[in-house]
Amino acid sequence: METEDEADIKWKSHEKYLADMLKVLPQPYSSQDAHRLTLIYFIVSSLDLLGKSDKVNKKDVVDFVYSMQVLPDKDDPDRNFQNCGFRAGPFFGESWSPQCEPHSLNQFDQSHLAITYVALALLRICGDDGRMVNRRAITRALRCLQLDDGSFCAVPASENDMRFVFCAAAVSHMLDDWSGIDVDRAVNYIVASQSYDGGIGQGPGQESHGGSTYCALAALKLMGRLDALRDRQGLIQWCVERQVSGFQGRINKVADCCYSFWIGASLTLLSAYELIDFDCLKNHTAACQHRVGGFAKWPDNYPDVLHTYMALCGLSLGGDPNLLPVDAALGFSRAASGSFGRA
Amino acid sequence: MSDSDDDEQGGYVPFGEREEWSDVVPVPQDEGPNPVCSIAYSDQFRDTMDYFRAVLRRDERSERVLQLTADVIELNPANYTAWHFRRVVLEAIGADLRRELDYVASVGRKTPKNYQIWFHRRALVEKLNDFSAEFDFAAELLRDDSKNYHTWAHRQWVIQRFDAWDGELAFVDQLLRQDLRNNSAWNQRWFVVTRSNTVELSADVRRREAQYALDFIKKAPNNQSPWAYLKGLFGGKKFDDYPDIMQTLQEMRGSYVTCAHVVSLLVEVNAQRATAASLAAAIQDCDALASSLDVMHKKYWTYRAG
Repeated sequence: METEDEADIKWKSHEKYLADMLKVLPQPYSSQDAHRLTLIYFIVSSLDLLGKSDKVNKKDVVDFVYSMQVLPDKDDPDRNFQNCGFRAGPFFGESWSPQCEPHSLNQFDQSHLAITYVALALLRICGDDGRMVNRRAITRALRCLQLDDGSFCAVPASENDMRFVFCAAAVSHMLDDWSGIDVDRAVNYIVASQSYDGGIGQGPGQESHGGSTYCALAALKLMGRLDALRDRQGLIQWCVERQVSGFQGRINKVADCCYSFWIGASLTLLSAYELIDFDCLKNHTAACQHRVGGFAKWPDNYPDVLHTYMALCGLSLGGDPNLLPVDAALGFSRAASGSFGRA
Repeated sequence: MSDSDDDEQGGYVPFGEREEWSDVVPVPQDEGPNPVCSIAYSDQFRDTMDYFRAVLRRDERSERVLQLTADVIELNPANYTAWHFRRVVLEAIGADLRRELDYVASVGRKTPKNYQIWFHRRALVEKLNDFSAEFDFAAELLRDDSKNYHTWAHRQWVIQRFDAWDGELAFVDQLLRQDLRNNSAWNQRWFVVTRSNTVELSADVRRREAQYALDFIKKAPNNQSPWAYLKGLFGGKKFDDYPDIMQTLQEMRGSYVTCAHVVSLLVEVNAQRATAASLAAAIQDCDALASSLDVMHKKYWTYRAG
């Protein structure tokens, strides 16, 4: 069902773009090989939001995801417990194993927290019951990814920032198991990261940014601690003021269509989404479409799967009837959101 | 043909044809029978990764593997496993970490928005206990992209880790004189002023910083950054404790008749005063913002008036 309005979204072209990417990603995506499961998530979840998940072979996706699970070593689970979760792709060289049989693991074969998040999301979207997810291994690994300041690393010894606080909260929510994270410490990190201008940075003292603001708010929502915010009013105003046509990610930066989700969802979580000019936002998003499909960050740029996904999520938040509603806190369709239930 | 294809094909010899690698059996990737979202890797990419997988499997830590990790990083700078293993190899072979700082600087120049290079740099700086190259390196990258989030975060890390506060205010000032709309620089000023000691901001410092912001506001009244800074300075404190600042704001309201920011700040002031008269003034200002001064955000100002 296509609706023609002033902001003309070319739905069929995006479906085709996504269907093509689902088969083969062009060579420039090689530099994102280490985050391949994230690319799969953007594409599959986009098709899901478009109501076209029938174009996805869900069994193939579920098999692929499970084959990416980094399990505890079969003979000595204490040796690699901090690596457990999901890896981004088969680039490490492990054998294909969608049945998750116990096996020996190499010490350098690490999961990545953002990948564990998208892996669980993909299982939810594809209707899998999560039975083969090793939850204990994941929550055990989470505990050693959290630092004293409450933030999280992605792998043992990596950068730490708000992105992984969100991923940890989302993973815990989907597993319905909060034993992997110290919620109070995580909340303290988030509260300390609210900046003088009301927005939230990647960490205390860092510049307010749409991406980190979303990660912080979504994490607080999932942890049931939105009330911990020091200055809710200031944050609402900061978010609203990011609208210059589309949304900018920081003060005095250019509008980028992915912030239609990061900022849009932030406002949704603050129950303030109705305060934006949605028509103006939609016009900017529409201008970011590429003529052969997909969305780019700016008008007249090349599209990529991340901006395509974020643009679709941003449109969904605005209630577009061509899209399934997205869950603002988890970042994918409300229908697929939720947890796998207690183990 | 893309630029990267040209680079790859120039002088590349497949590993299988290199004498010095003849003892290693390459390990291909196993994607299963029905791969999802296959990536159209170049032959060079596939070949390099086949050998990287092989050395990971045997945990070889040697000079040739150090070079191999550099090859992987060149093709995929975001491969965190390659960076991690590189650190393991650097340690094992007792490599010159200062040369490594030069190496990571060269990668950083090509891909300054990559998270791994900054983490690698921190790891080296920690090991060397030497941050002497960091400010210059960050300054160099800021010349190309004055708002690179990672670069500013790195400066903050160095400053806090090594208690190296001196010189940063001057650096920020220099950048603001080049571009007074650089919000990252404004944020950095806040960082230095509020964190360089643990004592709460004195009235003198608050006033000094307010004057600094006001000077920049006068150069470009519609620039949001110094307004956000000014609002941040008085957050929680009463604006009325600084009658000279209030006076300046009222004058600006008169001079900059189309500037939303001064009226928006006065809404905050009146909201804090919270008397019947000041709240009425705030509501009137919200109406002015909604109807003419800040129409893009009119729904917000209407909500605020309520």
